[in-house]
Amino acid sequence: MTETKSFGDSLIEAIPNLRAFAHSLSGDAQLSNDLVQETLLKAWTHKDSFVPDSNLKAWLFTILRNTYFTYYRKSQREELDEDHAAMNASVPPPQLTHLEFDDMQKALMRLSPDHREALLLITAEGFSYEDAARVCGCAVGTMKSRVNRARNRLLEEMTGQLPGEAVPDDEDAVKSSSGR
Amino acid sequence: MQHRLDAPEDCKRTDGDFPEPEGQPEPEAAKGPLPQLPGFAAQLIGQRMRAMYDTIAQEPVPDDLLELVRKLEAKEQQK
Repeated sequence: MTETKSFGDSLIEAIPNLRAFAHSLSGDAQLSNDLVQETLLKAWTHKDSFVPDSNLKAWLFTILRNTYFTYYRKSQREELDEDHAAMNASVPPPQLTHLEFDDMQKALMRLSPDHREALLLITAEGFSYEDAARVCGCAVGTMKSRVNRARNRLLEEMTGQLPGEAVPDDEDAVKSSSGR
Repeated sequence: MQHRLDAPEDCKRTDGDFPEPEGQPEPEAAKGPLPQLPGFAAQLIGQRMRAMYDTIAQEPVPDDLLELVRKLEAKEQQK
């Protein structure tokens, strides 16, 4: 490994994660490649404003999510939401244990974009709450609350139960359901 | 194509355009602290989400994205 990695090399290194974030956030493979392309262009144009040795991935994710939310606002979000709601309405909630790729994507798309983004940054990408909050331009406490709400919402949807009721925590319930 | 040139800095939203969801009444917000998500289910959701995310991250990077970066580099070196 060379010590002087070029900015371009660093960008290329980040592309797989940018694509995963863009795809999971937008729910659209084609759009996600456009978002990544736009992000790379903007990053290149503004590479002088990147502080060396700071978190390049967080900086790139910030550009990407801002690009997505600009697009999202422009494309009339109510309409998009209705489309997604209609698309998903006929699909019965999957069993939590059988949750596959598509189910996960659909469930994510039913979350509000803010909650989806929070969950992806923390749970999937593994950002710290501090970095994720910086990416989204919100307070750390807001980030924590979004992640918590997003998780609860997903669980509620997938099990048809309110969080807190979903897993029996008393012995009787465990005995009666598993026969142990 | 007109790009917004303030991308890295514009992480602060303009409130009018995109109101924070926290400003809207949410039923569960009124009831005080949220119940804790059962650990097992939280773990499972986390695992599935990472699996989905990793699947996309492991896809081969489209050539046009790689070419874009290399072209930008080449253009700069010509200067």
